[in-house]
Amino acid sequence: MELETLKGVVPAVLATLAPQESVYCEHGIMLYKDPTVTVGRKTVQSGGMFGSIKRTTVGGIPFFLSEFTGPGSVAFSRDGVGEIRDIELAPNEVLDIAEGSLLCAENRIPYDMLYVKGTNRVGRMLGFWMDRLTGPGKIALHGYGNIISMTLAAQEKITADYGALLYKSGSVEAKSLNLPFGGGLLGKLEAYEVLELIGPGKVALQSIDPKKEHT
Amino acid sequence: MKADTVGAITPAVLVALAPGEKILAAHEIMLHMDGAVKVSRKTMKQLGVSRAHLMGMHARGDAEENYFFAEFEGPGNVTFSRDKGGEVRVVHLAPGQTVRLRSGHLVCFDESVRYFPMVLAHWVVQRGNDQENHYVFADELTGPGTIVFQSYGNILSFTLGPTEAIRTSPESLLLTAPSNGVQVNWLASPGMVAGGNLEPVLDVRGPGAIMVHSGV
Repeated sequence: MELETLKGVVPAVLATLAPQESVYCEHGIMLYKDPTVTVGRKTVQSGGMFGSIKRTTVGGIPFFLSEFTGPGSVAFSRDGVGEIRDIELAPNEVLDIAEGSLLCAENRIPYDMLYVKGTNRVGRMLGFWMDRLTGPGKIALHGYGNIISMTLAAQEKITADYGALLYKSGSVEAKSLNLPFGGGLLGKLEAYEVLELIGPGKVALQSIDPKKEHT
Repeated sequence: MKADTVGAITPAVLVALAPGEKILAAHEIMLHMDGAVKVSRKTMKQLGVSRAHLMGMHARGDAEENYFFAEFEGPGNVTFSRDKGGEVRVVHLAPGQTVRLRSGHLVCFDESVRYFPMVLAHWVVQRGNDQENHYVFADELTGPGTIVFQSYGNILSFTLGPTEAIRTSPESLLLTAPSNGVQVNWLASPGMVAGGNLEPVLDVRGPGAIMVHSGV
């Protein structure tokens, strides 16, 4: 599979597939495809019935993924201002991607989900889901706004806004916490709800919180 | 404060803080920070803005000023984003130099900069028997120190000579020097008969610097 970024303010990615080669993506983000490309359904199987209900109704993760099989080209877009990253995952490399950011992944890459617990504070009680992909294989993802990438050393920590996290290595731990905003009751009430990201591994942040953008 | 812009479409601001160095930023625009950076709260009262003035601002309309700023203390890096497309400007203010920045666009500023929220323009629209008050709120910032702000869309910068004037829409005015006069005038919409719809515009008269932005 070849991935090409169609650059612009609202970029898209073009996947060129050899015969019988497949990619999967979230349902509804296809921009166009060649007539020779066939479309199928890929069922997400993880966590049983209750796990499926939780991640689909609460987390916004779809029941199904769309699968496109070559030969031909298919383009995907997340309909948002931003940047696209094509990443080649090494064998057994694990990458956790923010919900709603994956554009497409080679079919040989296993798809799973990761749940990051919330802080139990009103508004963040339920945490959020991430897509967990394990290499080898190629993926493309969309960062809303601009992407800031960094590599954390072992036990190195950064604090990030909830909506800022685009992806992280599987080895990077993500913990929700309330960061007090000064002392006293006001400091607790106005506390930042943030993610603490602890290395080692790769982290990428995006400059637009997609949930804020769409509200 | 050493501030850099990261990215071009929806830029973020990366601020590198030395040990003990403090900056103030609007609440909840932080994107990420290093583990060593400390966060606390700075109230308007601590900045010398009286409660009566602030209450008056909020009573007047949709003032975006919060009752406090977030204070970040180094050492370490902090990034901020306003989640919108536009340009970031880093401006170093000389001692006593003042600018008036449209409210809601300030990203962060040095602790040494004096902050004061104000009403830059006010007009009234008559709707039947009702009067609607409209305001352009601004943050008045006085050096010495560095300020960082973001426009929505692109920035057009001008320096007006004495008595030179430009006309902008109320939404377009981003920044003005205090030496510029800002006056509300009314412009008949194209094709409207006399007495029809009138649109408010701002006439900004020099001398001084002015910035307008292309987004809202």
